[in-house]
Formats: sequence, structure tokens, C-alpha cells
Amino acid sequence: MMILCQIAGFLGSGKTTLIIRLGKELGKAGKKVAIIVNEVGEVGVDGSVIEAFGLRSVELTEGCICCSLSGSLQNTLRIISKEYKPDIILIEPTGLALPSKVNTIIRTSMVEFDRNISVALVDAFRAERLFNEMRQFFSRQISGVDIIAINKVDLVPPERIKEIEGMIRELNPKPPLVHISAKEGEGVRELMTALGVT
Amino acid sequence: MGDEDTKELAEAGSFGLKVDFESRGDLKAQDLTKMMGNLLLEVADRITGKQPLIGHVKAFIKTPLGHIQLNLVDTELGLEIVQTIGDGPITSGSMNLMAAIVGTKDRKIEEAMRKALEPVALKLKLTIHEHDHDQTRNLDKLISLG
Repeated sequence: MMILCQIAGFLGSGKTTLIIRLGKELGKAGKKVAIIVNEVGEVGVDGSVIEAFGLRSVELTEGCICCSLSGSLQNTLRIISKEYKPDIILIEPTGLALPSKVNTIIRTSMVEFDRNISVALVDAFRAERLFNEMRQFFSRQISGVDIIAINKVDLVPPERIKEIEGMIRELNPKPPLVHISAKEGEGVRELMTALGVT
Repeated sequence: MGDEDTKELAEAGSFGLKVDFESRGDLKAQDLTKMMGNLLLEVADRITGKQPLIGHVKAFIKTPLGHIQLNLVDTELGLEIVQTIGDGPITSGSMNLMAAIVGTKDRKIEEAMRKALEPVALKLKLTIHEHDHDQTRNLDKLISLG
């Protein structure tokens, strides 16, 4: 049975870099992977980047799958699950999407899946600014997810990561926190284990 | 899902362009990378000035010799560049440009991007594609592999 895995997070949090890492690792493990990538603008860049790394992606552009393109997401999920039959579908929403809304759309898509997992990526380098300047939006982006991954840990000192953990816990005390550097590959295996996709 | 639009909720604007190009003379990968990097920095500067960017400006440039990927998330961190083009002159290619920035409007990003393309147009022959409103790309390609 199929697993759906949403990799959410604000603009520039490293979603595409993580998706490429996960896609390559899962491919190496013999899993059949499909990637749905969504961009808010009329022109997509991430789909081209993903394909440049030898991975297949379907690109949904010109809107957000958690609101204006919700029907397109459901339709795409139905077609991919029926025609391509992947082991896992990795979903990259726009950096402005709310993962809890995407989860609702997935649940009502009438697509059969074994598990639906969602990860919120938090950019360690910019977390404090997002927390201070977009607190309400940031809070909604990390709510209703299964795991919160603090990304780009290679760019900040360890004491800063502790502070970021504190900020996140203030907004969402429940989900497990993992530390990763999607760019360097650090912590990605641990994240896959936490997701149960190894 | 209600009427909530998350782009409006985040008070963000976005704009993207797909552009084909041909070189007007000898064009090396490093020249193209520098030119496109300057374009991204100029878009950010035109939108946010001295204020830090909240969002990102990115580009993917495809040529017969390889690709260049540029990403600007934070002006303090600078450009992130992945370049796979080897030696040899670049004669043509295509570029996808996209920006999504908080606290601005689509139109302002469009103006900034078109203005930032002007110096590039002096060095490259550009054909800007007005977008085709095809919101789902590559689905047929994926299922044909199933």
C-alpha cells in the first residue's frame, strides 16, 4: 500500500533539497517514488531542479494546493495512484501552504493510502525572523504535522538550535523534533527512520 | 477548504517568467552564472532595498551543456549556486525565473523582474514566453512510465 509524505515549510526552508535527498535514498532502497511539486507562481523552478537530479515530478503551478489548486491535487493524486502505482508519493506544497489544510485535502481525495505523514521544515537560519515577523503564519505552518525538522543546522551554532527548539515548542509542543541539513545530508537517514519510510 | 487564500494570508506576492535565450557572442558558464546571479540580487534589491528578504528568488537555467540553479533566500547568506556546465561556449538555452516575497504585490515583483532582465537582454537574445496557464505539468510523462 502507498505512503503519502508531505514536506511542508516556508519559502526557502529547503523543501526541494530535502525532496531530492529523500527521492534518491528511496530510489536506492528500491521504492517507486512519485513527486508532486507545487509552486505559487506561474512558472515552476523546483520541478526542473528535481528532474535535473534524475527524479520524476509532476508540477502544479499558479496557485496553492491547500486552497486554489486543491482540486488539482486530488485529481493528480487519484491519477498517479491508479496509473503509476508508486510506493510513496512525496508532496512539496508551496512555501505559503498550510500543511493541515493539505492533509484535509488528501483525506478527502478518495485515494487509498496506508499512511499519510507530514513534515514541517523550519529554516534554522531564519527561524527567529519568521517567529518575530510572521508568528501567526509560522505557527499555522507548523501545526498539525507529524514531525518538525529543523533544517540548515550546519549554518547555525548549537546554542541557537536550542533557542529555535524553544520557539517551536512555544507554538507546538507535540510533534517530535529532528535536526537536519538537507544540503549536507546530515540527519536525513534519521528523519527517514522517524517517518518509517526506510 | 473555505475561502482562505494562504498567499493573501501571508501577504505575499509572486511572479515567474520562462525565457529562451541565444548568446550574442562568446558565452561561458561562469559569465552566465554571474549575469543571472546579478539578476536575482537586483530583483531582491528592487523589492526590499536594504531590508532583508522574506521569501526567495530563484532561477533554473537549462543549456545543452548542463544546467545552472540559483537560489536567493537570504541576502545575508547570499546566492546558492549549483552549476553543472562544463567548458565550452553556450549558444542557447532556457531559463525559468520565479520569485515569491512577503510584503509585496505580484505586480511589483513582475516590474522588478522585467527591469532586472534589461541588462541581460544586452548580452543575450531573449524570447519571453507569456505563460500558458497549464497548471499541471508532466503528469502524462509520469504515468507513461507506470
